[in-house]
Amino acid sequence: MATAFKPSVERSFRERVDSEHGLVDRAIFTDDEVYRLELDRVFARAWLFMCHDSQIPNGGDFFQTFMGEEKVIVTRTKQGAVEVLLNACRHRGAAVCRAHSGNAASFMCAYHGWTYDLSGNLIGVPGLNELYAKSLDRKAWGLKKPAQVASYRGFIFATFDAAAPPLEQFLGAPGLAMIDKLADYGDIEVIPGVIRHRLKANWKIGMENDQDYYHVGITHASLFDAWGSSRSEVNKQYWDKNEGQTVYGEYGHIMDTMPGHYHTSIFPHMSLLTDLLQVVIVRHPKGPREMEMVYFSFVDRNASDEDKQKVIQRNIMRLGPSGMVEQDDGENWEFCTDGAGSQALRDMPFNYQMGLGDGVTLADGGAGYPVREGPRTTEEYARWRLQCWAEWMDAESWSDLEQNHSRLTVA
Amino acid sequence: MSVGQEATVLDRPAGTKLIADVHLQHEIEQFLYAEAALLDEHRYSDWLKLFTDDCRYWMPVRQTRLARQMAEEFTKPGEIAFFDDDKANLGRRVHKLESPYAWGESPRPRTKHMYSNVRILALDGDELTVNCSFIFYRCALEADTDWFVGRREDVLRRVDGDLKIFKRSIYLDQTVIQAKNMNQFF
Repeated sequence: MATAFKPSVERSFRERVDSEHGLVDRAIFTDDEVYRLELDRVFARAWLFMCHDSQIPNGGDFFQTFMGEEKVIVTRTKQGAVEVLLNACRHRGAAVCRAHSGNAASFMCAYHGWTYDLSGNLIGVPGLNELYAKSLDRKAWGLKKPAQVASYRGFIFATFDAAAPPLEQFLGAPGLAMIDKLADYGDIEVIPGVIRHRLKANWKIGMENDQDYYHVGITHASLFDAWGSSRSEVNKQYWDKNEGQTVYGEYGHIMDTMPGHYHTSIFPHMSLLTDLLQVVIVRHPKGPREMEMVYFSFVDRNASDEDKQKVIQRNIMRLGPSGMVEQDDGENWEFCTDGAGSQALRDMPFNYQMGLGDGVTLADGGAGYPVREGPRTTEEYARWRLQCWAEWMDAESWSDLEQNHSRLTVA
Repeated sequence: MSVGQEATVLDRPAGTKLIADVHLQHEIEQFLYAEAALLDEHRYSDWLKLFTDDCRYWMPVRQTRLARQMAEEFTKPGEIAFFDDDKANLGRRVHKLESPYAWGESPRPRTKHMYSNVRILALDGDELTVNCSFIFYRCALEADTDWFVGRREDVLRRVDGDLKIFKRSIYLDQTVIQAKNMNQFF
């Protein structure tokens, strides 16, 4: 019955994410065409977290990361400025930097030797006189840079889109408050040890898990066994006493305010876990069915050694592929990604109906922006994020998105 | 025979020294193979008994660095690590893996811990430092396949005649972890 399977690309993304009824087209997690468009309309458009100021304190320091699938190098110039450079030689495209981080005066492509300074200027071309008759305009062949780079409280962001609004406008009051929560721990710095972990799962499925308090008692049951608490106690903690405020920022930012959690997502792919932990996690897309998770752990540089060790131990015991919490998660996301790609189930949407219609929106939760008062174990987070994602995907441009995106409406 | 006596034996003329070396080398290799069997048979509580009460189990984070900055390849003790466990935390991990709700162990993955390049790096009283290379192969469910390859450096201690693990340092060769998790032991 091949005719039963309608090509879902004919529908708008806002139709494919039916947040009103809690139904989501599963193909958005695995479809190749959706993914190619996502790289353009989400990752080439949004402000993306690069790294923290403390990781590149000195002239020549660099940190390598990604914008979408593009390799980028974040550098500190000798004058102290921050630059973001595409790690691709302008001659034949090969990477000019081969390290995750370090200190360098310049970056040389190991193919023909084109060499770039910390600002991406092409400063060396072997054979410039002999082979190019001095006619190569080096000024025109520097490393490509994103359209805009900006930072907020030491958190460096970049966007490929010249039309993107300023960073602080993109973050909005809720997004700024989410970053403040981590920055307010003190004079914060990233502790050495950035963990990088690949999973064969769609990046959006990973993001969704950050505010999923439905899975905790089951997925992590063996953890609570080891810690000596029962599953019913764990579920009770999340399901019975979870009334509180949740924050839904424009463009898809989310915060739960759950004590011990404060799981925050800056759209599209940055998470900050801040109440118990002090960590930022970024989930870079590597195709529709793979992602690279990168972990940055923060401490207040003025904290006592003892207090720093407590933070470090909490992070080590919980986070990353070996963390006692997160070691349980990856397999679920891989299974879900497999299930999302099912041809036979293509017309059967995923169910996102938990907590539909629950809660009341308050015009001002006390911090100058609207909050929602209600249960914190809910799929409202996922509905909001995917609804916003669909608006990014339907928008033709930043100005289109600015005019056509959801805002929290007060009843 | 204590390790201290072994160290004295090592100072004797070449022929005797070689035989003593072979004995010690054999004992250590058999210890490592017995440990591998416990892990591959998922007998984690028994495996934990191989550690001293004041043990440290440590796997630093590794990054790809420039050739001239390889000294900063690994994080240092006290910084972020994949594992930096005392025996109590190691025990919590064992308890978790042995829980009936450890879904990653249900069904149990097929694993093989293989050790080679076993070298005694130092002898100091009752303690000896042993290097080995490892391959930890894991095959789970239908076709989930992981290869963990790296180097291990153990400080073993002779306690009432038996070898125990006092310090274990694990240096994985991957800088970007490719397996869906590292919930088992190295």
